[in-house]
Amino acid sequence: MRVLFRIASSILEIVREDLRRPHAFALERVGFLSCRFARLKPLGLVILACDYLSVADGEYVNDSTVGAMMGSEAIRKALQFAYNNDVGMFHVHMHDHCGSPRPSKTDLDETAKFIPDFWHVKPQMPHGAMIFSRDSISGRCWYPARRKPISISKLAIVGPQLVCIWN
Amino acid sequence: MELNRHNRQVNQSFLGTNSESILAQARIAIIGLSGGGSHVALQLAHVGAGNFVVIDYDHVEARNLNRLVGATARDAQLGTLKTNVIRRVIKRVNPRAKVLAVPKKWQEEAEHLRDCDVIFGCVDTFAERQQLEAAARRYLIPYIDIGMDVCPVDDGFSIGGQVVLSMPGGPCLRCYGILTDERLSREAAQYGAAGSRPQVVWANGVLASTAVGICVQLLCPWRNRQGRGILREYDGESHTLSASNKMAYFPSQCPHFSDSSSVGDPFWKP
Repeated sequence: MRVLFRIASSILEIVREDLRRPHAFALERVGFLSCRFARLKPLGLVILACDYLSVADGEYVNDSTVGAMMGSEAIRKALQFAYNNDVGMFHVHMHDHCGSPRPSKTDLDETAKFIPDFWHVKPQMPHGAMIFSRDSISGRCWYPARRKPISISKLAIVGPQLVCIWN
Repeated sequence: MELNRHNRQVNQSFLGTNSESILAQARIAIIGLSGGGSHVALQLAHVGAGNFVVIDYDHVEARNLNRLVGATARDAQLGTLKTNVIRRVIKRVNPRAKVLAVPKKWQEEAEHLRDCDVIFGCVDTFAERQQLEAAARRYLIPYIDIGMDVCPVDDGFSIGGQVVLSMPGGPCLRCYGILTDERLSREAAQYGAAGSRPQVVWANGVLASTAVGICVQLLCPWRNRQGRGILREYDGESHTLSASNKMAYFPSQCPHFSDSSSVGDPFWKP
């Protein structure tokens, strides 16, 4: 299955700016992109990023075993946003390096635990997880009725420069 | 073949070290393959674009030969599909190019646009422009529109036109004043009686060249560029293309496509 991701550079700037902010105890920040979708024939998907949902300072849990741990209120708000707006939700965080960001074992384990929860509120929607680096993006998508996530093969940042990233 | 590619890379080195691969991989749709679209296709093939979707339901006729670049008298005689002419034009310049030729109305095969990186609209009517821009916005795809017209005036004819870059979030054809309710309703009232709009190859060439430049600038910028849209107006008497003074009055956010619920397939289901 071919999966593409497209985001306006203006939204990406908002995401990066938010994720770069230091936190009182968390070592990194996380957030959610709400996304809508388009079908590709014969079998494919275009993920279209629409809005960014920041996680508030008070919604992190102080857990030194990971870079950032969301509290239940942050996840509840993201679930509510998906439900209210009929969108898929993509968890985002940033790796502070250049080049294609690869998920750590913690990233893989944790997202595999909570991303499928979004199907409880929006079972028809794909959901997923994106990782931003300083100059690149990678991501995985949980598609309805498929247990394993699918890697996003092409990402496009639409702005004054149109940047296409092939993974 | 390798020599040609190497020479292109050397001559276009100011576009960046990866420009050849960026241009080869970018998927570019051209809707409307007559006066404007044929120029666009040819020039994109020359700069090394390698992945095309070309859409036009029409056949070549003798009356197209004054402007359809690459069409021959034989094509007019045989009634060759315009998509086949353009595929031939592209392949002769860049044999490696992938060309998906769709000889239908674009609305019937609109799914081919969804995975494109840039869409060129080289269509004749305001109604089609409106639909095409809406489709591009729906899928967050940059849309480059070219249009020209020849109008009778007191002492002869006036040739005018424009090139527009319509970016998601940026000013749209309505913001630019190109699409207006008055123009759309006037066109609708003349439906079926409009006939063929006069077109001239030199004006089409100017507009198409600028449109291709905008596309290459998007993909491989040779300088930092700011701003979220472009409007250039063509004056056929003075043979000039200039930045529109309308740009100063645009809202920072397009009010016509501001609703994120209009993004993506309507009623999407897996």
